[in-house]
Formats: sequence, structure tokens, C-alpha cells
Amino acid sequence: MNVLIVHAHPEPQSFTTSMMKTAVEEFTRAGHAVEVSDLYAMNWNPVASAADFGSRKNPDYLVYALEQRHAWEAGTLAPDIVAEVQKLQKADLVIFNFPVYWFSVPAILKGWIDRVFALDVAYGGGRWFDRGVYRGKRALVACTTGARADRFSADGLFGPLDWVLHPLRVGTLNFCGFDTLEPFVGWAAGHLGDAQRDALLASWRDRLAGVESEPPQPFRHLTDFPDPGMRDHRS
Amino acid sequence: MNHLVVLAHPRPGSFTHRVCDAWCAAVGELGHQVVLRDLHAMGFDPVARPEEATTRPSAPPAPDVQREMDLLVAAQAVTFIAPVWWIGPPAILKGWLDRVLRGGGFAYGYSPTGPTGLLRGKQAMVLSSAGSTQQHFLDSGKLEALRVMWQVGTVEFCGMQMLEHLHFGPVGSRSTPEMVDGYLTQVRDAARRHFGTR
Repeated sequence: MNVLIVHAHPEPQSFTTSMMKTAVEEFTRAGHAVEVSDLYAMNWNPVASAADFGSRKNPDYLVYALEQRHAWEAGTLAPDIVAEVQKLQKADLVIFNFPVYWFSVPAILKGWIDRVFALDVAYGGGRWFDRGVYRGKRALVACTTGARADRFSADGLFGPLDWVLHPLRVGTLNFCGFDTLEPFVGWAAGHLGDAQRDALLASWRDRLAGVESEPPQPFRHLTDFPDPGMRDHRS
Repeated sequence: MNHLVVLAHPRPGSFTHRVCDAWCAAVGELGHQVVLRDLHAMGFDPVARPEEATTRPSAPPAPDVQREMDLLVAAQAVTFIAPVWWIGPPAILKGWLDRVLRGGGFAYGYSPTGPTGLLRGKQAMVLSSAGSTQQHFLDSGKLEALRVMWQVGTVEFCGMQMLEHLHFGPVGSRSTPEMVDGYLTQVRDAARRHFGTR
């Protein structure tokens, strides 16, 4: 299969970066094609702006999503965005590998989503959830936290990590049609000793060895949520 | 009282900017000082550097971050105004949180019992909007997910008090001028409700 790893950590020596490298090794060993978008190394620009469009449908009034559609059709979407779209289109499995910052992804990854998951490219015209553009693809969230696992238990200080990841899992990935796999979490990764880090990386490697046959998490089906009153820009 | 307003929308004149104008005017009319940070207009860099992207930063703040930290310290209230993109703030605002709410004794620190918010005494507001309906945002869990991220994960983590998250929808092509007027009235009412008696 084709694997895309979208990696967002500023420190090449970090545990999160070791997770990315481990995944590359494991997929390569198993004979899969693996590609990495290392957002810091690429100096990825996360700020959505008018500069993303080589031509404008409406030069006087920027509606970012509508210009995404126009630029995609006209072939004038910024080349850095188009390159990432092409990687996504090829991928069977996409791994999002990042540290949790403020109950969310780092800004550089948020901006990858803002710019790459473009209208009419990743969703639109009724293509979402069951009818999503990326139906058939799978996504795996691999993240590290500053806090221990018990902080993210149901009665812990922060509440379940599932809440924290809801915007990514449901609001972004299911929305665009991805099936998601159970997240892999490096709890309190920065506070671990060498032996614990090695053990965690080994469990990550083992997990990846069987990832192709893993069942996905429950998908949010449109039929379970009848007409939410949302409609696409096209209609 | 000093108000810091952090605005994130790429188009001047947007609904988000109108919300910001209404908020700043209403707060100002109540006798408060308002400092506006328009992140797109400033060209704010949202990408945390290696030395600052950690709970214990190893280097002093970059000048652009120090400026925001100073403004936050001087403020008793901070208001975040932005559209909802992918059930979260646009990257430029996410990066303001990543870089300005530093660990290592600024926004939070650690005690034997766990993380401790260090921005106590400050109040926070979030004003957001989206193209889909308010009902959809409620029913689908999006508002709850945003509440978790903003209130539990960010504002209260830093020891601040969350006053209110006001979310408006639908905006854009599905809204009428009357609806927009209603939203802006809600913005002004919220300013008076929270800051009118101080």
C-alpha cells in the first residue's frame, strides 16, 4: 500500500520524530511505499490567504473556499498545496504524527489541513462522510502528549482524549470520507526514560506491522444524522 | 480595564471583522482600553520554533512573541475572534496560542499536583462563526468539541476564566442582513453583559 506520513514536530531529535522515523523504517521493511511530508523540514506555510490563488474568481472579495474551487479548476492553486493534494490522492493510509498542543494539532499542521483539504478537492458538492472524496482511504492519528494517560481518562483533569481528537477524527477525517484507526498515543513522551521510550517505539513498530488488517473505528454515517441543515456552497 | 482582542480572518471587511469592530466599539464605549491584534494584517508567524515548542522553553521568547506576552500580561480580558475552520481556529490563531501561551512559568507551570495555570485573574471570550446552522453545530457535537478545546484545553488550563463562547451561524451566503444585524446585536449585548458594570 501507499503510506503518507504528515509529520509536524519542530525538533528532529524529539520522540515524536522518532515515531515518524520508526514508521518509515517499518513500512519500508514491509515493502510498502512510504512518503513523508515533514512540515517543519519543508518550511510549510500554514497561513491560508489570497496568495494561495494564481487567479481569482472574485478579485474584490475573498471567500477562501470558493477561490479554492476556482483555482483548482483553473489550475492556479498554489503549487505547494497541489503537491500535497497529489500525495493524498495516492495514499491508502495517511498517518498524522504530531504532539498535542492546546488540545489540538500544532499550527503548522492545522494550516496544512486549512489549505490542503480544499473545497471541491477534499469535499464539496454533497461529497462528505459516506460520500466523502477520500472514502476507501484510512487515517491513523499518532500523537504525543505532555500529560500522563490518567489525565485523559473519563474522570481525569482533561477528560477523554477522544474529545480532544474529535475535531480531527470526525470534523476533518470522517468528514472527508476517511476511515480512522484507533489512535496511537505516546503518553507523556517527554517525561519517559530511555528504556520506556524504546519500549513505546517497539509497541508502535508492532502496531504498524499489523496495521493493514486492523478494523477501523466506527464511522459517522450520514444516515445516522439525518439532514443537519448543512449544505454545500454549490447548492 | 485593559482588553486584548486577537483577530484572525484573511479578508478585511469580513463578517469576522464586523464582529470585531462591534466588540471593540462596545467595549470601548463602556470605558475600557482595547488593544487589537489583527494577525493577518500583522503577518503573524504561527509556526513555533524548536526551542519554544515545549512545556519548558529553552530560549527567551522571540521579539514577536514577547510583544504578545507583554500585551497579555497587561490585559485583564482577552477575546479571540475567528471563523471556525475544521472545528478549530485558523492556523494563524492556533499558532498564536502555540507560541504566546508559553510554558516554563509564563502561561502555566507544574506543581507536585499537576499543571498549574499562571494567568489567573484574567477573563477570556471566544467569538466564532461558521457557514452552517447553529442547530447543526449543537446537534453534531461541534460546539462541544470547540468548548473542550477552548475552555478546558486552553483558557482554564492557563488559569483564566472562560466568560462565554458566542458562536454565530449560519454566516455567509446563507445569512440575511437581518440575521447579521442580530448577530452584531448579540456581540454588543455580550460586551455590556460581561463588562458593563466594571
